[in-house]
Amino acid sequence: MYKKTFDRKSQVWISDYTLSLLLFTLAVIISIKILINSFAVNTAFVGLKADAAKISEILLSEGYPPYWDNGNSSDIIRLGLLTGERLSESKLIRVMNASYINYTSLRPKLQTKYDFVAVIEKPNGSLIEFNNLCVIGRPNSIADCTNPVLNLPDYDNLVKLTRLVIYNSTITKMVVYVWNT
Amino acid sequence: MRKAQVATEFMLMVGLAMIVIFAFLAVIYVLISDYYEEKNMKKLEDLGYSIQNELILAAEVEPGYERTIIIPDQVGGVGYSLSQTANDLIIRYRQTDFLFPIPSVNGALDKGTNVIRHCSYETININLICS
Repeated sequence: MYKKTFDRKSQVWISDYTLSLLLFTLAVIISIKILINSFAVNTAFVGLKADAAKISEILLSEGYPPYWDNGNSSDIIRLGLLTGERLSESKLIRVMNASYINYTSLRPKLQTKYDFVAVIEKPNGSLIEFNNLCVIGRPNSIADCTNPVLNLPDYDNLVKLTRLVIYNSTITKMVVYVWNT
Repeated sequence: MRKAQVATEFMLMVGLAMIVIFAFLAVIYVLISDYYEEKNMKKLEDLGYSIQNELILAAEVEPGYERTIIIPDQVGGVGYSLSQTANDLIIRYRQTDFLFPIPSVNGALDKGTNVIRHCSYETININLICS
């Protein structure tokens, strides 16, 4: 009689212990996962914001060499769209043309690892076309320049940054979208 | 007999707990080391871009420009090597090369204090006096 009671107690204790250990492990794993995820998202978003500012800053410079649009894309050290503090049509045509510089080569020139798209907008919101092209960055992000709908992949974070710039004696907007997947 | 049974159960439970703890620690170690590896690479990339920006700035401004920069021995506690070709700065970290295009310069960058000078049209000297 005594022996039977002892066995039963022992079994109950082991199952309690195992269950509590499993629950504890599960709780710790979930907490760590939540911590890591929240940490990663915040870091990514801060990085995205910084990169969006950097991309717009670089684009709104002359670039180096200043007249890089006269040479090959391999000679570009830093890419900028201005000449004499105005948007240069020649530079825009080059940078939007994937056969001149492709997207993979473009990102390091703008010092970013994130995906991005930049467009030039008129004051009324329509896009300015340069040789029927209107997008700097990820190809096929806008299928039709006359009907600008952004076609972006599923992203975790997206940053939009707008800056004013002069083109053809008119104030236009350069809009930069940067995202991570 | 009863004491032996308790001891076996105790060892079994401690063993189980140890296995769980070790597995858990291994997972955390992998996650943390991946995170720090990525962070180190990001820091080295930022260092490369900073040096690239310094050299571009020196090339863009008028002759007479001089600036002293300090390149750290380690970044985030990890070592790396620095070298350059005619138009590229190369940062190597654990068999990974980061390439940063730079304007053509005379002289070489090294860890520690470096003096960048814009001597005359398209002549950038690093750690060299303008002639």
